[in-house]
Amino acid sequence: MSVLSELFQLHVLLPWLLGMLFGIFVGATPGLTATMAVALIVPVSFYMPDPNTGLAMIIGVSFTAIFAGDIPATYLRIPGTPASAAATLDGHQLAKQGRGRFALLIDLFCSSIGGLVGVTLLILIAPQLARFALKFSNFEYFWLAIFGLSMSAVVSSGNTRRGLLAAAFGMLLATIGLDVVSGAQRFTFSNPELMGGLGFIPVMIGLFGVSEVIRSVLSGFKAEDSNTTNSDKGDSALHSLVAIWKHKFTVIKSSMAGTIIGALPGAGADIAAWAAYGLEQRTSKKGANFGKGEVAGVVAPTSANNAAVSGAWIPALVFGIPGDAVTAIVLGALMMYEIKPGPLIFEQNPEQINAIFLIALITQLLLIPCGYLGLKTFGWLLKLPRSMIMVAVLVFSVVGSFSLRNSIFDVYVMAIFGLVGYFLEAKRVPLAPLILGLILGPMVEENFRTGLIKSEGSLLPFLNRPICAFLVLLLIVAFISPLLLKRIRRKPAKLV
Amino acid sequence: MPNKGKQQNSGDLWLGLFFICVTLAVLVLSSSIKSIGLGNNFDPGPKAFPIGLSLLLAAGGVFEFIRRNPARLREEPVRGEAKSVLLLLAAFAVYVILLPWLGFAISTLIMATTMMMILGNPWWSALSLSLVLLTIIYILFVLFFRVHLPSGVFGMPF
Repeated sequence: MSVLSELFQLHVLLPWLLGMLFGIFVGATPGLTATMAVALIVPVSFYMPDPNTGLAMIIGVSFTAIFAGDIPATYLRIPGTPASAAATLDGHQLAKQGRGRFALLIDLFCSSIGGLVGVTLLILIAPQLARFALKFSNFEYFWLAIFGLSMSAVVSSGNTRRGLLAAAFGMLLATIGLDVVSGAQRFTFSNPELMGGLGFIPVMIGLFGVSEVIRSVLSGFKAEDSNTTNSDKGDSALHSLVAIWKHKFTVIKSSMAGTIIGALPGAGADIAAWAAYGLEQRTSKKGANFGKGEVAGVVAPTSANNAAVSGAWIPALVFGIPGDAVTAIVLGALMMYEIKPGPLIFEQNPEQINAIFLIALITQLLLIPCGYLGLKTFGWLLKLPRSMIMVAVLVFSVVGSFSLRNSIFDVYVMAIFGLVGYFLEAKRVPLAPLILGLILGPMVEENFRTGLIKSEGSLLPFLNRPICAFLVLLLIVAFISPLLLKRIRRKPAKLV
Repeated sequence: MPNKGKQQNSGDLWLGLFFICVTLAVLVLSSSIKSIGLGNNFDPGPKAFPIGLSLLLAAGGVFEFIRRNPARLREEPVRGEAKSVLLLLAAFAVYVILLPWLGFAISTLIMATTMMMILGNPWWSALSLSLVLLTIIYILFVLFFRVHLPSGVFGMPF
């Protein structure tokens, strides 16, 4: 109870709500992503008087930014975040029929319900999985990290080969600094700022914030000329709730699917949204109406994308392996708060875990008033000059990068990675595997080398332990199955 | 989900060169990595991972280079906004260099105004918007969140 009452103190609640409103602003602005919102809020969260306030801000931003991306998706046909792309299909059609508010209210309530289902599953599954994870040693963690990295490359958008290269590049960047096993300096150039490695947050801000600004300017801030905010009929919340009740099984089904998909490393809310949309389209009796303003076409992806954010926390809390880029940044922040994710945290620090669970639950409820405010003010957001938004992002990026360690070096790191991020995305190299490589690289290396020391140089324990063998098999299946599926799909064409 | 089929086999010249250059840099710099000798404890050492990863990148880079699509090299480069981006990057580079000297307030005001003018705003609009932005940052970050920002040689409050 004491954690619960603490969370409702003004010094916690106010920054929490401000953080959520910031998430709404960033998520609703096309071109600014949920990942960027979290990356920008993390440095600010460190200035909060206690860790729970900082965590509340970060968790609040991650959920609201995902929902807020659906607002421009519906009114402008421009997803505010990649996770909102699936909601564009039917949401915008409803907006063209003068029912944009109706669609977004459905969206808001479904996001909240999806998040609640996801957090509930997180609370039920994570502690059980943590007990199982206590059997893991260096050998199992090594393969788990490799599995996480490989999955992120396989499922990420674009080329699997480039995804793997991105993961390898991220792992290489993670070797900068002092070697954990031997203490040797690697690629530090005798610069004390590099002894602890590259600053994780400035790298994130550069990759997601600065690179996006470059991309937006280069694209000339083009926007679809389909602003439908003015033609809204103004449906009430009751109409939306009635519609959700009629699709209650879709909500539950999509939320559960979203949670499971979100738990897969690299999958993320965008894949969860598309998967839920596709599943509902194939199984619904009104499948042919999808894409024409079908309510189920809004319910499914919007329930799934917020549920996926919770799902991503499952491997993150239990194994320290983030499910997506947003959770990767949050994990980095947790470590800076000296909260080390892993199975032991459930036994050694249950108050902290309970606080995280409570914050995640309450955030789903606070999402409704914050999201409603976002819906009301979206028209005002559209009036802001795009150039001001882009310059503001750059300035916030500088503030965020500098404020962590009062270091101008971190600003230089951010600027460099802004260019690197732009270049890699222009070459269709996905950034999610790169971030996972940066986070999981030390886990891979440390567990491999420590495992080798324990096994006196033998590689056998990496293969003959049951959990290791299972993980290796999963890895092989993950790589082979897309190729097999491709062959199976080609066969009917050959028979014609 | 995007179609991965055709993308799997075509490479990219610049991406290939990027990864090859990274590999060469790592191989050269790795020679200066010194490890503390603890006897034969079966640890492959601090150089193993960087070198192994860079060789993976090299393999990928060579593949990208060999399988580069010549048609894409002949494509028209993106013009139009490219000049704006270069000017923006130059302004940003000058900004981060001058930031510790001029302090956050002065350098940000100059940078934000310049950038907004590059992006097509008239000078008075760019200056006004920059002042609004600076005010928001001061209230939010300096006063409310108590973030410390560079004050520069002029001893500005932020």
